[in-house]
Amino acid sequence: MSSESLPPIPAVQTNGLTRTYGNMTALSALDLTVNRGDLFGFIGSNGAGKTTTLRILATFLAPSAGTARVMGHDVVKEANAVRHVIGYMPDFFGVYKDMEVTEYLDFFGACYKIPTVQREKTVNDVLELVGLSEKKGALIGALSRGMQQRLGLARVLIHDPQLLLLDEPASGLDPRARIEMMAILQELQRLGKTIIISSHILSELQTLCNRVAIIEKGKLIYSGPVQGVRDQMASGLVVWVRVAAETERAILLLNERPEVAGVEQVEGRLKVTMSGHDVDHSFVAEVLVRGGLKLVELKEDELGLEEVFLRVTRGETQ
Amino acid sequence: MNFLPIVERELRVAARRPGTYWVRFGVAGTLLGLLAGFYGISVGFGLDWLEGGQNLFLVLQWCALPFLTGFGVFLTADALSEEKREGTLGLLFLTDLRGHDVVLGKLAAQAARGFWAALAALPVVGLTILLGGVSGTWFLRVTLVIGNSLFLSLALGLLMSAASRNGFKAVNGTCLLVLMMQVGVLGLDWIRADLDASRFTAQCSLLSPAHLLFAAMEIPGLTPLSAGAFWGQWGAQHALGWVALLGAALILPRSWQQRSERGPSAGIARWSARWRFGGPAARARFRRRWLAGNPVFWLAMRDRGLARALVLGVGVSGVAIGWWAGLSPAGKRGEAARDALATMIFLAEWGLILWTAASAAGFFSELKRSGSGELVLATPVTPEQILNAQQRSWWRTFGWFIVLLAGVEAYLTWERQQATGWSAAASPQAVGEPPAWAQPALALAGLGLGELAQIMNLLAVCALGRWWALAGRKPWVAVVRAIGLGLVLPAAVLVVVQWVGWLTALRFMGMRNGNANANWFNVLQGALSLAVAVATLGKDLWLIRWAHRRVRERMRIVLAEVQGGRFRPVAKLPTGRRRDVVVGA
Ligand SMILES: Nc1ncnc2c1ncn2[C@@H]1O[C@H](COP(=O)(O)OP(=O)(O)O)[C@@H](O)[C@H]1O
Ligand SMILES: [Mg+2]
Repeated sequence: MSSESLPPIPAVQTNGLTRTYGNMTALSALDLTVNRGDLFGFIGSNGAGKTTTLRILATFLAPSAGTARVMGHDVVKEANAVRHVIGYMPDFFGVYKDMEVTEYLDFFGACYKIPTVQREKTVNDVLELVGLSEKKGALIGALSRGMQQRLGLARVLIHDPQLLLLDEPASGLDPRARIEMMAILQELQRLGKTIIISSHILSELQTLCNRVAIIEKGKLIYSGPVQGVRDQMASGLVVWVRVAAETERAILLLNERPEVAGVEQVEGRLKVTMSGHDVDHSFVAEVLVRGGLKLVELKEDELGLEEVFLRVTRGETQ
Repeated sequence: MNFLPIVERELRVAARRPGTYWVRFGVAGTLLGLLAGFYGISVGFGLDWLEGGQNLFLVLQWCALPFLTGFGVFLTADALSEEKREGTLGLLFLTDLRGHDVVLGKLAAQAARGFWAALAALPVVGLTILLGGVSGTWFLRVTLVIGNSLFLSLALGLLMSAASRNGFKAVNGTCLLVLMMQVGVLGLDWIRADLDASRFTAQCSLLSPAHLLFAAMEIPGLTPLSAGAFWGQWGAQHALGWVALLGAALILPRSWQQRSERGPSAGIARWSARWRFGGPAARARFRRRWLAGNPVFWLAMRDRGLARALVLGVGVSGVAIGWWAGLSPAGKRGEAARDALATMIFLAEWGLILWTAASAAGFFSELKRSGSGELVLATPVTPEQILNAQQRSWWRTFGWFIVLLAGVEAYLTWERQQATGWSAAASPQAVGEPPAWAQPALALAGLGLGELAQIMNLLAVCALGRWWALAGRKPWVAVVRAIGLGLVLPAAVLVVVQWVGWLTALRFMGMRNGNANANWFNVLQGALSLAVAVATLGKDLWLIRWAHRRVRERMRIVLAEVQGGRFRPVAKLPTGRRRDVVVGA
């Protein structure tokens, strides 16, 4: 895997990845590609199958069908090679509360067979990176939740893996700790790591990730750039309009325009849905004012990812 | 009083458990098997053992007492502490329920389960009465004593579990209390009698249900207990149960909240952390020494508390034996020391079995519960390495002690043999005499294999404890299973087999009437115990192999059952399908 001239191997590639528990299908024919250098958001509501996917990638679970390759290595046949290139952080924190921070990292460093002489320096480096240097001698049980989460991140980084699998790393953190965590992740991306981060909260990944995948009930619904989610998932652009009177006539006027896909009356306001996303909606005001109506309010709908996500998972789209 | 809601909840949960039915079937089945065996042997060998139903009744009551007492411990010792750990106890106290409601509710529900288990014995018990030879009073007294013993162990279990949060500690504490109450008090009376060279009189022993059961026996050679004495003793024991319940009800509301990290207990915590893990320098040294090869070895070794306690315990025991010998009259010192040593060895062997199972189960249960097992297996460390690390750490901690025990025990046995003498075998060889070497050789082989079998027993308990801790949820249940199914049950079966073998051989050799050749007698005995040792070894090897395979093949699957620290059983483990496990490349 030395030659740079070959087409790059994706960091993660799954083909028809399926996992069943008894007769319950937790993951169904997942095809996912994550490129190197991506900060990849893996989004789905509770029970969607995120943890199952990440555990398979971490070689912890075997797929029931399909294949998964991590950095070119098959997760079943070359499990050991995969374990060396990934850092896996589960959705809960497995700790011995009576262990010291350094002990904890030293132990995991040894698990990755880092030579004793190198380990001390490595431990110091990762602690520095996650900003826990002053907490070296502290007992893990005495750390705050945010610090424990950062320690988890330090553990994941100890063997300098190329791919980080982080299962809901921000869950249970307060906003401040969350922002700190995100900053560390961005820093890691700059350092050239590929990061997959799962979450059921879309907004926190909206600004952080360059690519996302949305999964629901074990099926992949979307995979691609963040901006694409909206385009693909949502119907056309929506503009909210309020006129002083003669609402009926406003509806008629708007419906005459070819750019308008539909007009609905919602709580005294008009919801104008355009036929596409890139429509210039300045015509709305023009039409209404020309028609002699008094325009009170006009607002473009900020359809956030959150709403898209809710719609997707409620089954409104698709 | 408002304890019915608790009873209802408990019974509903219990009804959902398949174990509830198995206990009843198990009890009824075991008893019927026992009955059939008893009958078969006495008819087969032409012995009149039944003497009506009396002997069977005796066997039954002496099996029922330990079984139901142990079952009582099993039912309640972790009942309240588990609710504390899971945080459900706090929720109960946020309602109008009070401490005594919870305690009584638990008691009623678990007593019902104990009662059903006891009831399963009814058909066989009825049979003994039909066979005759058991008086109505005797039957009533036995029922009352055993019932009370169950009640007492339930109550003591509730007391300990009200006081503690850790299931292990609660169960251990209860076992200790119950043992103390059943047999420890007898020991106290013995020691006292020994010290003032008087006859054994029951004083502390009056608190022991086992003693009362003994005293209530209506068999030839024992003066029957008067009604007054019986009721007095029974009443005192029963009252003890209520005292324990009262204690539990008082402690519970004060102990359900999580302790704060600071406060007066912080000093103790710091001290105990130093005892277990050493100071910062020692911690660093341990890591340098043990992390290099198999890092999990360090994980298994880092808590030195037990190892240190063991060294301390052995030292203290040595001093205690010396002190005890010093108290005895000058001529009897050696004998006193030997007796004390033998008692200590007996206790130490059981302690060793318990500790072995507990440390294996504790380690693997912690790996699973804390989720650190998943973290470790996500690194290149293999299940095999984890298993080896725990095994090695066990040997590092207990090895010297095991060797010491085996040595002392072998020495004592040897000495006893020398004293009773196999020199008898050196008498002129008549026709039909066993060869002179046979007896010492058999005894020697039996001794060696017996010691080996004991070590293998420990390894088997260790292996089973590991697997059942991984597969189940509570480490102490794994300990009970490992010791019960891996050690006690096979041993009991082997004793019965040995006994039947003995009878068969005697009959075959026409030596039933006691005028047989004493040398052949001894040789036969030696051969039988040798056979038992070999069978034990075989059983242990098989169990160890089985448990190791399970751990190696299923560790990843089993750890995957836990998510977010919560246990979620995989619907049905696909048996024997290795494809479900990612085995290291
Ligand atoms: N060990 C298991 N046994 C049985 N079902 C499981 C197990 N682990 C997960 N599941 C089921 O698989 C589905 C996907 O779970 P998971 O991957 O944990 O979802 P997510 O991480 O997205 O919340 C859920 O319905 C869950 O109940
Ligand atoms: Mg999850």
